[in-house]
Amino acid sequence: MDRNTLLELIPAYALGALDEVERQEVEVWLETDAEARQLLIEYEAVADVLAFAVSARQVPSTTRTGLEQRLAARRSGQSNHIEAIPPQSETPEKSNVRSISRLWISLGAAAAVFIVIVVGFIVIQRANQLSPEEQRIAAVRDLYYSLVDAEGTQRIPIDAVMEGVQGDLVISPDGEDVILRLAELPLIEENQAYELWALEEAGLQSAGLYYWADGHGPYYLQLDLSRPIDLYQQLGMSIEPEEGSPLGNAPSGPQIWGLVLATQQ
Amino acid sequence: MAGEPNAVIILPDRKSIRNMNQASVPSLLKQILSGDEAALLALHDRFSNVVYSVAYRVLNNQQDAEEVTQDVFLRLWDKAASFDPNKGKFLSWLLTITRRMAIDLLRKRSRREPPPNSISMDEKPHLWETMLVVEDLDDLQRTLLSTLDELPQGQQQAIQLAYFYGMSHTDISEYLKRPLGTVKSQIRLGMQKLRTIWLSKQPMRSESDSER
Repeated sequence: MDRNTLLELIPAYALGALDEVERQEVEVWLETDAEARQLLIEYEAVADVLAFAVSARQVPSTTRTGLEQRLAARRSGQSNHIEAIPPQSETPEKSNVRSISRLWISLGAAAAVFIVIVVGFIVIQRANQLSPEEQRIAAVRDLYYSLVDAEGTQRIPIDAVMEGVQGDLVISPDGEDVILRLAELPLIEENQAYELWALEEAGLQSAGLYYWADGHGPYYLQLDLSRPIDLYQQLGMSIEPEEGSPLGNAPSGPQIWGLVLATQQ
Repeated sequence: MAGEPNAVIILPDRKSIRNMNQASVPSLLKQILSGDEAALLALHDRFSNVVYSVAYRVLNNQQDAEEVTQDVFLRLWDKAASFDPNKGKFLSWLLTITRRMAIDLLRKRSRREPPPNSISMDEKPHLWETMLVVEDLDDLQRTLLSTLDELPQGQQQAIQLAYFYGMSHTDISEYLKRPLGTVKSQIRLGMQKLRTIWLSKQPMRSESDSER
């Protein structure tokens, strides 16, 4: 593909409209062509404006409530279980209401208020009482932060293979507690899982399957490895079918991140 | 790091959020980085309508658009530090995240094509003027939107399918049943026209630039 053809693809690249092969060709070429990069900046500025080319809509009030609930859930360490709060119907049927007497309306309203109060009370009570699983997650998170602050703790950042993935591994000074923190994992399908891998002298082995619906995290995993952590050379994670890699002791899907343990560096 | 639990959790109250609605975006981002949820909710109150509107444009579904809106602000909570004011406006950055997350959800729903009736629903751009963040649109942006409205329908459609649905040249060609070369030309010509307008409003640009 000659330069002029590639230049003509820049507008489509800025919109994300190139097919994979073309996209890769353009990216290789952009690395060495300053004029093309400038052109791309201009087209991206144009593309940014397109976001405003939408009809205005009023966000439902339930969205904010849902956001607050998800923030609260994150504080209690259960973010992976909270989905968006479904919208409420805002168009109640009115036609039958006219025929009901005021007395019935009042009674109905009183009953509704009572139900709301009772349900609200139950929801608040539940929110204040963490389940055993939530308590366990919170305990691991707290342990992670206490280890981070402790003298002699090893803290090893992961090497992201996929863009945006964050995390680190902390190892207590005595090597007994090993906690992995992960965030911004790629989204996976419902029939997929994140598989953790550990490499030791004898070879690679699976260290568990995990599923988090939104991938954002952060998630805290206390690793229960079969051997002391200093006998392992590397850790890593891949995307696999929900039942685990069909290859057994080798990943079959794309790698998300890797980590070389400090003793091996 | 924002989004990670701290020993002290600051719970926002309505009064502090009201005060924060007057705060600048950089100031709110700084507060988010220190773990202040009220700052995030203040940004939500300011920008959630436009975020929701863009998400709805892609997904054409209230529940999905709400989910994406929440996801976007949670992403902001986690990644506020990655916003670089030297690279562009906050709102553009936020809407880029919105569009990408909405397209991701669209794909997750196994829909490779726009939801029914969504292509034509925004063919009346005068509605753009009802955007609640209208103060964030400068004259150049308004001019570009007007220019987009004046493009031939084929160019508008191709550009919007690419931008809002993440469709490639090939996807658009199949969806609109137009030759691939036609789609490529429509996107290129439409974007060139918009860029020409953009360049004409930029200081110190040579005329030859606008030829490209």
